[in-house]
Amino acid sequence: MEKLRKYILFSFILSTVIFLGGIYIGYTMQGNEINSTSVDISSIKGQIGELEIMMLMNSVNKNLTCTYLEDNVIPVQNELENVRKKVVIMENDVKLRNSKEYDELAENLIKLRIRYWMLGEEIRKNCDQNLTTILYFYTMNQKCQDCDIMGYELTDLSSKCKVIIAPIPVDSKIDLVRTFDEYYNLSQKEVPVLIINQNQTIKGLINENELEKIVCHR
Amino acid sequence: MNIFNIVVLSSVYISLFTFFLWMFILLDIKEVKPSKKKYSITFIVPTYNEEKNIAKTIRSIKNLDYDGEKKILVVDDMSTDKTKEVVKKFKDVKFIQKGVHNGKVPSINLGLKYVNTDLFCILDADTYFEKDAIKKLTGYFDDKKVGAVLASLKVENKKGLIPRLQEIEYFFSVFLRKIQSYYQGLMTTHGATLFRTSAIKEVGEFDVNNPTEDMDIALRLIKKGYKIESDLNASAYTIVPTTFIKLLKQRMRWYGGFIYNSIIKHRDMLFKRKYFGLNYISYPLSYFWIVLAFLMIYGITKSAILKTIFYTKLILNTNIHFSFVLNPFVLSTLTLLSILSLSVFLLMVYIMKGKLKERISIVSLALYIVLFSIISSLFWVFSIPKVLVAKKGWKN
Repeated sequence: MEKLRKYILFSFILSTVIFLGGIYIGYTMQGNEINSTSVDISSIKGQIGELEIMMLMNSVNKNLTCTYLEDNVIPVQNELENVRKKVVIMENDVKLRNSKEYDELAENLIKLRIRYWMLGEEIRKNCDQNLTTILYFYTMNQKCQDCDIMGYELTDLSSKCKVIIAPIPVDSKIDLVRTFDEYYNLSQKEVPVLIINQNQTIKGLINENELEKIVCHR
Repeated sequence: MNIFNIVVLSSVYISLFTFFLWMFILLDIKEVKPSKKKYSITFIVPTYNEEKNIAKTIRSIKNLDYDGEKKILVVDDMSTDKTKEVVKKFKDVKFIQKGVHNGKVPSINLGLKYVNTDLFCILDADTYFEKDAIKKLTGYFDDKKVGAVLASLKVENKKGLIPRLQEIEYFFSVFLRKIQSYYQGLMTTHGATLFRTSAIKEVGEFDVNNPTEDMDIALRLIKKGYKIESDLNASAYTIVPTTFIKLLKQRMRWYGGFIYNSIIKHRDMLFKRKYFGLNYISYPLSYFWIVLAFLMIYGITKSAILKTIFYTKLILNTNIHFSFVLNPFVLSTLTLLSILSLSVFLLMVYIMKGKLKERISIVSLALYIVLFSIISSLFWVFSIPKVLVAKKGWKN
């Protein structure tokens, strides 16, 4: 019995040390994951900044700047998509999702995508009539299968035609997003909602073939 | 942090604790030497339509390397095949023909009335001992407090997925029983157990209305102050179910029987310090895994339903020829802790392999880890309704 008590105590100490050690290392690694994604976001921010400067020069030399912008706007979208995938994985980790660092990261990404969408709008108006911009409103806090399906459709669509997409969670606490919600008069119940080229609104899930007709064959 | 995360993290913690405790005990285990005393032993073999197996079982008993007196008693439950004719060919085997066909336990109780040896063993017709097994088991009976000793039960028919999974399960069970006997928390006997006759006569015959009469008798022995022991090296082999349905039926009886005996029939034993190993180690660990099994089945079912609805909608609405894409490996806290637990588990398996000097297939082990936890969870879920309807004793 004395030996058994000793074994129980040793097992308790060992398992507690390993368990707490594992939690500590895990948290440290998650922190690193956030840091590396933040670096990616900063790099994309720099690229968008360059494109914005080029957009400002549009009035000086339209041909030159438009060619540059048309060539470089879509690759940025691909990089943003890669960062989004990383953030989605973090979003699935409950502990990470509730951290302050994740909130900051997600907020930065949303702001960056809105900024990118605004740049896309400028390019569409001044350079490329074939480019389509989409504001995609979805919900994070409620289970929305239609939003998930719409997400798949939009990802698939971006490989088929020139489209710039800014996914925006309607339930975000960011002031900028709230302004968008109010401007387009949106609520959680209506999502998914697509605003195409700022003039066409699609509420609810739409079949991919129909969406392709609207977006790619305008 | 939600409830699911708390459950997962606590299961990782309890796994780590259990694996360490088991390892310490395993490293301290010492086997008992065969007794110098030649105990007389009766082998009770209950049969029902066992013409194919019974001769092999009788021969295996006769061929046992044991110098003490051996008696064989076949109790037949009104077989309709040639069991009787096969048994009659063995001259020194006593054959008892029952008048009614009423199951295995009444056969054992009838056989028990004819037992006048120091020890006895109930051996199913599809189970047999290795030659030196009985000799090894007798050593424990030199301690007057020992009421029953379990052999190391292994799988005879190893072909097919279901038997292979059970082979690994039986491998772990052998150690689990040995570890439980170390802290007097072993609460069952099985088809290859040697009993002290006087102890069984003291606690009374086997309960015919109990789904797991072998667990019931073990608990009754413990109540009377007897110890249940288990041996690693005295091997016995048994035929296990080969299909999922047969296995499900067996496990509904076993698992339901476990719950019935532990919290209904023998509830008077619960929470008593006298039964420390049982109440503070064996039962809490078992019930933790039962709760976890329920949560696991709930989680899997809910996720499967939601995913089916989602993918159906996705197929109907999109042109995406999707394949199941796994998220890239993310080294999160939970993944890291799971790797650590698995490492401790594998270290424990390595120690076990050394103790039993037995080869186990890595494929079977991997399948067991992945599949059996889910299958086993299902068995627990199916067993509960049987327990809920068992008010005044269990009816099969």
